[in-house]
Amino acid sequence: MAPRSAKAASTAGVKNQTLVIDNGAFTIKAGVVASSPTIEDCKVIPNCIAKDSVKKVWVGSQLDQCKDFGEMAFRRPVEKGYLVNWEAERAIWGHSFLAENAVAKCDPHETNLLLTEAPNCPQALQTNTDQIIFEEFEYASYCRTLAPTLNAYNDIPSLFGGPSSGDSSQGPAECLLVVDSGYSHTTVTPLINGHPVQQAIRRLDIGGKFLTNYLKEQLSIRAFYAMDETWIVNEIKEATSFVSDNFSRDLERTWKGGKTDRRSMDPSLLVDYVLPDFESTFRGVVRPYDHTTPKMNSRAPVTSASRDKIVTLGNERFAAPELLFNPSDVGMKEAGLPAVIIESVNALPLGLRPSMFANTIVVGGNALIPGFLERLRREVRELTPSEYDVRIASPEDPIRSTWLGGARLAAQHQNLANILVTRKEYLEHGASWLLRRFATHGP
Amino acid sequence: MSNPLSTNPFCSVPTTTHRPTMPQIELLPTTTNPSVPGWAYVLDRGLDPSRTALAPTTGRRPRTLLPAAAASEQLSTRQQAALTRRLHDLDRDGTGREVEVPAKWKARTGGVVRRILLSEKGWSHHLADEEARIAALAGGAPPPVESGKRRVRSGISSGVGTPGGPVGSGTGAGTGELEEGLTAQEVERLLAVPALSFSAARAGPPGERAARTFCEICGYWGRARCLKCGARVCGLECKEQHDVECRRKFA
Repeated sequence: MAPRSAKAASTAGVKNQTLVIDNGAFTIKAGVVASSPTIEDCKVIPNCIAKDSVKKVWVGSQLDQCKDFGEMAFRRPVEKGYLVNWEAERAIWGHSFLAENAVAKCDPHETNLLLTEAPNCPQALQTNTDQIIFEEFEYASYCRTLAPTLNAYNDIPSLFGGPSSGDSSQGPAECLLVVDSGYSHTTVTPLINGHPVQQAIRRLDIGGKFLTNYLKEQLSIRAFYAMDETWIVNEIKEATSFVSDNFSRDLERTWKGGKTDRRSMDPSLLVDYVLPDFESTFRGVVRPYDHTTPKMNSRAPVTSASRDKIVTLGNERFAAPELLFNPSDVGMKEAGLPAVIIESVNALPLGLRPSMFANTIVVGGNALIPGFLERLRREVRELTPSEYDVRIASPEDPIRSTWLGGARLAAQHQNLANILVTRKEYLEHGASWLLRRFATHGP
Repeated sequence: MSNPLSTNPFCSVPTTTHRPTMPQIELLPTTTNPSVPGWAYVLDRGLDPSRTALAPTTGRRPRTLLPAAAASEQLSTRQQAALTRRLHDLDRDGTGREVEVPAKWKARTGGVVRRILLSEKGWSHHLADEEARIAALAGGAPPPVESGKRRVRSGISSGVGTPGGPVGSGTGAGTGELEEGLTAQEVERLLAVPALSFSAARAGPPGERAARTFCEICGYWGRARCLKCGARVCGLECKEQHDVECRRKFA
């Protein structure tokens, strides 16, 4: 070990401020916490290095200043939910936490780090992370934990209409089932007192990325070549998609009809989306459906009268989110999310099942899709015995919910000290000791 | 297409005799076998392991015998390969190395950290390594072979080596649990069980309900099938549009 590192270790210990990082595949949710955190302390940083059409490179939060997202290429260090490429991640972290004008600047030697990871992570990747944290960044102390577990520290009773404690120093929720539907995949994690029941964690390999790619494919067949326009299609998805409460009915309503029996589509299900041209407009706009304007997905040639590029979206709006409930629609041999929830709960002892169904929360970006919660509630209800109470809720900000839970934990200095590992301990015991410790001593 | 064998992905099947993990070797249909109308007698051998090995399986439990109705819906090899490719494409992401890390943040330190930072391994490599590690722990399989070819293969079929699978899968009956609450000891025991592997945590297979099919052109129900390529369309109008593409593909 280099003498420089040894010297730093002698002064290391648990510090007063903690950097909480929820390291998602699409965005990093991060913020420095000292005491009484609020959701505004959390910064959402794109977790990518991007190259635009004129070969300019944007790192992490620089993308907020970017305007032209046409043909943007992305490199994401987190693959399938797991931190795989540290070369790119180090650049993004450096830019976000270490650089002069970083959005969450803090000195690693004076900071504890609370970092999240996705469940069922390969050990080699966990060891890589541990080594980078202590040997490259040199944080004073550190804890790596499953992302869903941190949600247990949020004010869970208030989500189910109970009294809000308003007290951020309370312990974790006793029983909680966390459905985390993010960019890479959707996981179901049962928690007891904030500890994950590892053998009951289940994963559905469909996340926001899959939905965007599916929409990209559909639009490329019907409207315009969208395969290189990930960013634009993602914007379209976020602006227009919804989960249908009756898929076959809505599919009928958005059908153009056969060759001889034309049908008029239900205009309440259609919307027009005006694509940005990246000259005068930089954001797409959703408009009510107007059958008079020329469309890119109609067979008729676009006249020069209007220079707007408009796409009408019908069944595309709900066919993509439908995949979360029916992965077999694209031939994937996995059950839909409601059945995955049942599968996860059924892996628990019988005595725990009622309280899991009664305390289910949905976090992650897909929870924002309109209709998602209602559909999930209905289908889980149909699949559970009638004597069980099914309560599914979503926090106000499902994207930053995990971070907020972590921040509330970080503000409880005593509890935090129990789970942190200092750099000195790491240098003394080594990486494989740390691996075992985090596997058995979660928060 | 000068030599059909060299471009056919299944011509490499006989080489699998070198892989001790493959118990049964079977010749897959090689050249194009267009699905023709009509019927024929075929030998029903039940579960076809070579086919399930190609399918995107759930990896956790052995596939049970398909019911008779579903068996007729079984996909041809080419369709299966196309499906696997499509699912892979839908899950793809901008992880290509074409976007360079800015020079300011290039790795400069040495030692173990440098090895991690400059690692060229992607997710599929790590997944293959992890599965090999688990298999080696179970004592069944030889230690991991560090060759690129093997990694790619096991990235597709991830069904090997899942020890410590879910205990309570199914109805959970007979695990001796209490009706009301658990004692602290039981909870502790429950929480002490180690994590599942990546493949073991994957969701189970979908239920019995017949798969829905959709028109490839407009997204409505796929009520008819193209005889040439098996693609689904909703009606004549979409079929005409499909034929333009289809002719191009198989001309």
